[in-house]
Amino acid sequence: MLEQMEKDHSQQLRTEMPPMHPDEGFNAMVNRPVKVSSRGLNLYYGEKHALTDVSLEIPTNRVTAFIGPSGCGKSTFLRTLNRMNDTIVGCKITGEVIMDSVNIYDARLDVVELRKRVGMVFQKSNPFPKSIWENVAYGPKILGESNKSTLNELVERSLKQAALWEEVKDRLQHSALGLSGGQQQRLCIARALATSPEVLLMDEPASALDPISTAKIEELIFQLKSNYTIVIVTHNMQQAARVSDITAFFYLGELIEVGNTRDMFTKPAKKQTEDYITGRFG
Amino acid sequence: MTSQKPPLQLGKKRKIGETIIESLIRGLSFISIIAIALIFFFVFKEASPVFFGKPNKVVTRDSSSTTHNESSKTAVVIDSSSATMKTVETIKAKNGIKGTEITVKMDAAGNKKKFTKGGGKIEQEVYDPLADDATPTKDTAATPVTPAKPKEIKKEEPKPTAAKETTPTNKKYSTTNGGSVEQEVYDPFADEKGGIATIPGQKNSKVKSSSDTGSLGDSADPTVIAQTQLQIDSSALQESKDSLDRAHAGDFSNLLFGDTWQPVSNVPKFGFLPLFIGTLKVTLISILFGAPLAILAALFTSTFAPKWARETLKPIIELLAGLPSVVVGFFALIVMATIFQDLLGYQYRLNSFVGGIAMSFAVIPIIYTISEDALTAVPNTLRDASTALGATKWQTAFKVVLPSAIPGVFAAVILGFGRAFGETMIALMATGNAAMSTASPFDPIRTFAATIGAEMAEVVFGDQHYNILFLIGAMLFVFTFTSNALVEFYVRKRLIRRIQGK
Amino acid sequence: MSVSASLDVSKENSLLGSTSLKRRLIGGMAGGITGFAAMLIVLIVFTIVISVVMGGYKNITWEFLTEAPKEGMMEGGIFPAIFGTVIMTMLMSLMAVPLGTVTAIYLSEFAKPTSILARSIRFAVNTLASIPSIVFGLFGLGFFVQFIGSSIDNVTNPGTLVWGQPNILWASMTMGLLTMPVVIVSVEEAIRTVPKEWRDASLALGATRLQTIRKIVIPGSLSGILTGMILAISRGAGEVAPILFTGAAFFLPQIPHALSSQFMHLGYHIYILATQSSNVEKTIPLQYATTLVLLALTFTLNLTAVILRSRLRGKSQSA
Repeated sequence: MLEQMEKDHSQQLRTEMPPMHPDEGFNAMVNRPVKVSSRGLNLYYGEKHALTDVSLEIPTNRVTAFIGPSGCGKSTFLRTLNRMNDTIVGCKITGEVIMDSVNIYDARLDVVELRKRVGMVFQKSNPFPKSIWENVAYGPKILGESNKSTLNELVERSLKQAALWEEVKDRLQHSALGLSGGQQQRLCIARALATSPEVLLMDEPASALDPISTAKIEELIFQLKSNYTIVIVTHNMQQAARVSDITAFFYLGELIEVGNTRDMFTKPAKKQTEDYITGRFG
Repeated sequence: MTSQKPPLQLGKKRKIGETIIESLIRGLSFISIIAIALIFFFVFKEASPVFFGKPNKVVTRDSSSTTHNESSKTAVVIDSSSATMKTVETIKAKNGIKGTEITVKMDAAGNKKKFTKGGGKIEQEVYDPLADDATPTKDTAATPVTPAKPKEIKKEEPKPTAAKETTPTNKKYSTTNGGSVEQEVYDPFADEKGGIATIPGQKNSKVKSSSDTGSLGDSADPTVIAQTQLQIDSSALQESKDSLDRAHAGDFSNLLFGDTWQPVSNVPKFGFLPLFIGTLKVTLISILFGAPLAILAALFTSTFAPKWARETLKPIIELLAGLPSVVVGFFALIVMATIFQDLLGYQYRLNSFVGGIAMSFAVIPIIYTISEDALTAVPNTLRDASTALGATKWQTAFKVVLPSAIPGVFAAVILGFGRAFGETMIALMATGNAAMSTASPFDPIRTFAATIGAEMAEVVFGDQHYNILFLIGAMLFVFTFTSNALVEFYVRKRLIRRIQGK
Repeated sequence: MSVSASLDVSKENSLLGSTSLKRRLIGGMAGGITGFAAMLIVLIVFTIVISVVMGGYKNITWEFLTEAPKEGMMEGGIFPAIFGTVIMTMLMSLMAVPLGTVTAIYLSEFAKPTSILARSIRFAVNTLASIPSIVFGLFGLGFFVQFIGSSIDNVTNPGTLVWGQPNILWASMTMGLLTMPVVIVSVEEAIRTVPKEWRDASLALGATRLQTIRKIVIPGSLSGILTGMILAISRGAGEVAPILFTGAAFFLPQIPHALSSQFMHLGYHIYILATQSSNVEKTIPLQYATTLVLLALTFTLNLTAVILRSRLRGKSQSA
């Protein structure tokens, strides 16, 4: 399985980018096919209308950043992409989210299949109270991998991808709770990578970290984007400008504007975006 | 990397095992609801013959033997290790009665019989239903046959005429009062003598039984016995027959709303009034003593107490909650009753006061825990606001914190009330168990729960007494269910509204 | 002018003078009263414990713990009662702990807290917890003994009484039902201390709900499940009312040999010795000693549970 993966990987790196679809809209700017797209997505928490009519396309193997003031719905929208909102009581969703030409809110969809492909890193690092090795191996084990050496390889590869291997390779059996905050968050990224997802959702992954750890995470994101479609929520506009290719601005549950990151930060089309970016509110 | 997996497809891959386990979890979690429903159904089912029972059993009596015989339904608990059997025989000899037909009933389980085999312990129910009725009568206690059919073994046996109980416990501890009055009070079937006394010709045995223990006539106290003795007159027979007929008619209101509880007598009387008064008395005493204590202590831990005091008090109260009620009952019976009697100098050693105080030990943890929860749920902003306005700590505690937690404290008291209402072992051991309806807190009483606990073991399965004990259980069930529903749907809502302003 | 002057004076008084003292006095009294109430409760607990310990410790001997009662329960030991209590609580836990844990898992992991179903289960659990234990006894008699037991007898060998009579199995099941809410409440509390983040992480990794429960939730709340078990055992060991007529025996020289036998129980033994035996005075030392054994049993269990739970709480606060 691993070999296959590696092969696929290198193959993919060699191949030319697939031809563009004629109606890909703004994604022409980043030259990538659409991985995930939402159409007319509305989300309600009980009475509260949290997301209004969000239609957005997320390009493959690029970093898409969601920005906006807190409570604007950016994290909520992120969680709709792997149906984590299912666990929230009173949450109701209309509209559709298409991934690989399948509506992930189709009743026939196996949500486990979806989450295998859409990994997630949370705002607060949340390693399990288990050893480092157990943490990373958790996902593959859940998905049925029981071969110890395969798991070992997977753990090593994931930790390397998350740039954590050198720091923890001698204490894989130690508790993950003994790591520092930045290390814990990178462990969570490694854990998410271990199941070989196609899309990686990151919910303010560096918001609770010091500047050095933040820099490491950003570096990591930059490296990962060649292999993964990354969606990152951030309240930090500089961070969005640094790491993302596409930026989407949310305000009061609505998607105000989306576009090439450089364009967004230099010549925003909408007044609200400009106000937010220039720091007039939020 | 992206091409390693086939593209996302519809279709669920559900593992059968998981589905089974999930539905198992869902199913098993209904057990609580099912349990409630079953408890409701079976307790009421066994109680229902009180209301809907058909007198279907006709018992014929040998009339010749009953002409001179003042028999009654008697329950004799015989402990082979004691000399009780002899007593019974003595009574029989003294009364010179013979040849009465006796029905010895084993309970449905036959476990009494088992005792005889296993441990040399004999516990029998000697039962002579309605033997004095010269004509064939329908059995008052007749009920539909229950699945577990009581085994009835009829045999000829010596007939004890006096309702003689062996409850030495209580006699042992009764020091202030003379013989028969004491027995009357502490006897689990205390009113039985009253019942006997209402039947003419029973005088004989009445006198006999009192002379056994000594000084009925000397007793200065107007106890049940003395009162019932006054009732012995010529009209008593008529009365008893009347009440018997009423009972036959299935008129349960007369059956249950009387003011005497005499389940074991010729004409069993199942008046709930003394039990109700007893239960109410002991419950109120326990609440009056326990609730303020628990609420104040909760206020202490949530407002005044330093951290160490809070940390010590909580486990101690949890230990109090974990104290088996039989231990509390034992403590009340052996230690507390004596101390209180010495201190207060009242007449009966075991009474509703001792029982109530003991029961408050069971109630305190409940009230404490729930009101403490309610008190700590009061938002700190409220306290801060009060303090900022210049209120002192106690003003904040009593004028802000306590009032805003009142619904929770109220809920705590209701639940405590429910607990005390149904508490069995403490009531059984510490209240004296005499069904007296007096107002004095220092008189012995008998609670509903204790009545079930004391009498169910001696009762014939399926007869009226049995059904009525189940009816009491059903009442207790309804009572707790109602108070719980009240707390759940009313009080909690108000509490939330009050604190969160919704 | 004069008004404002007098106001000033009164203000000064109130800051320094007698009002402050009075307030402090009242405040002290209020604190004192509540503190006194707390003290009184502590005093009650200690009085009970100490009087039982003082009355009973002299009679705790090896013979007392290992022998059967003799001479019509006037002498001898309480071994059958200890044994019966232990067996009964074990059987009871076999029923109460799995059922209670499953219900707690359902309530916290599966059910939506606002759904009617979850609310009715919760209400049923609360009600079950507050139904008087004597009513459980009646239910055990009416349901297990008279209905289930007799039905079994009728089907297997009609005319005999094997299961249709009080026995240790029916007593344990009755008690299991009584203690189930205890398990549910403490297990649910423990499960709630498992951070939601862990569940989210597990779900986001593609784990099913059941896998998350098995690998994350249950290991994370193991000490809570243990606490619930211990509390249930302690409750079951101490309750007497439900077994009065579902299986407890006055006196049995031998220990129960089958599920259909009756058994002796420490609490019931105390009750019998203290109120029903032929010579109560004479057995007072025995009563004290038996009470002490029961108290020691329940106290040890409770203390363990309290310690376990306080650790659990500490853990959840730090997490």
